Amino acid sequence: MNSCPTFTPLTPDDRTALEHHILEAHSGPDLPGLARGYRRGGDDAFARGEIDAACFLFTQAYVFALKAGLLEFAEELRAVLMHHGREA
Amino acid sequence: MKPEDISQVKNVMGPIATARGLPNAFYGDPDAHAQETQLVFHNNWACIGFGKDAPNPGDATPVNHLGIPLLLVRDREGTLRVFQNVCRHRGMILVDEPTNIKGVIACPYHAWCYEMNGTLRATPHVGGPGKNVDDNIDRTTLGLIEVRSHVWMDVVFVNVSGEAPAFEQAMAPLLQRWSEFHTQPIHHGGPESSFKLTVQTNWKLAIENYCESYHLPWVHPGLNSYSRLEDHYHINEPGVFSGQGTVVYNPKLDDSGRSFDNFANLSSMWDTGAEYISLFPNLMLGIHRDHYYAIRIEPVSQTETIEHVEIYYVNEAMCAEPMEDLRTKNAALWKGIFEEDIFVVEGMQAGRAAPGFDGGKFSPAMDEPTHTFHHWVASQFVGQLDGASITKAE
Repeated sequence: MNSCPTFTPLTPDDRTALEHHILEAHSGPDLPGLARGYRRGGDDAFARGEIDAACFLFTQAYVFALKAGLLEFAEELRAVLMHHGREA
Repeated sequence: MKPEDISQVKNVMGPIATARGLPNAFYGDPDAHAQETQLVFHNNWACIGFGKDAPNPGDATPVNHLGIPLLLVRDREGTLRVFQNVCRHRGMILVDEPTNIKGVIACPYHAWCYEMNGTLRATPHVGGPGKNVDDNIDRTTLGLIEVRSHVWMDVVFVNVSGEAPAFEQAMAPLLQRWSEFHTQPIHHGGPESSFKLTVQTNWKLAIENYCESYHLPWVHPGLNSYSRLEDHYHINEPGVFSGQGTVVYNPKLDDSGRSFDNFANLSSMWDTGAEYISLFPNLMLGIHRDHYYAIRIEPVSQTETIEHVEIYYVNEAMCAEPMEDLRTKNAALWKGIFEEDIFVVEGMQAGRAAPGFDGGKFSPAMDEPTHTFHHWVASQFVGQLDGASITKAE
């Protein structure tokens, strides 16, 4: 369970690369890629202690996981959001 | 509707010997069309499409039903449901073209997510960024609105009002009449067994032309060469359907003697029998020992109609590649016959522009199925026309 993810913050270059990756995935759309990309961004935000930003990005990941039918992954994301009081 | 129209509706309800047909307003007046949409379609079981339109688990197909956006959804267990194709948040159309849903039905606007059974699963950022809950958002009350539906012989029916009798009760006479068929599996013939015709006519003229055999010698002379008028009989089930049957059905699609397999265990009347029924309000059916077809009559407007034709066979072998040429011939045969009808349904529509046309005089001997349909339409308006003292006919 990733209720309290531990993750090293991304470097600025990695963050830029992730943003490009997410934008590219949107153009598909590549739903699994979007779910993974936003999840990675959320982990980065958690690592920087930015809970609201992290939950925003986990929510994005959650929706794309649901849309892709990645139900186990979606449940994992939902559990994190529930832990922070952001999901029912 | 004008007073004289209302008076004419009363005339429709009389015995066929003295009755007249539905007045002109029923074939072109926007107000009459709007009334008809509620009274004739939404209050009854109307056809909106076919199971084949969403054949696989996860398929979601949008349908416009007289202006109402609907969504056919086949869930993971194979059950077909019909929902309003509208997000409960901002009323956005959820699905705008046929698709296969991998996970959830997500609104393209704010991504509210619905399960295939309509349950609202997720409301992203509804309580603010990254907050997906809100005390004022009760997901259990915000699922997709399901429309009462029923699938019979792959035809998808809806009762928008939700107040019609149960399908099995409403259609009991047809279920009984065709009990030898509708309990057996059917298989859609594939792309060549699906076509549509767009005609410039009110939808009712397509229905009423279909249910009578009187026109066969004049409009379908080729058909009449082997299936004469006297080989046909009327079918009348007031309040449910009307149509015609033939006793000389004997298809010869292939010189080498190939033919389609027959439905199993049919009684002998179907050896050479076939029936063609208009099921009220908007479905035209044809049943034969070796195939079945259904035609959804879609009223695009009060003066334009699309006929969606789908042909089915009795097993998968009849739908496989070796039988493709026969299926193609069979579809072409029916398409040719239906195309022969276009000039009459469009001609009758044009005729409804004549002021004072009284709805037409029925032949008691030949027009009983047509009168049965007119009577049914008129009966839907009982008590609904301002100033009319229409009473329910027997």
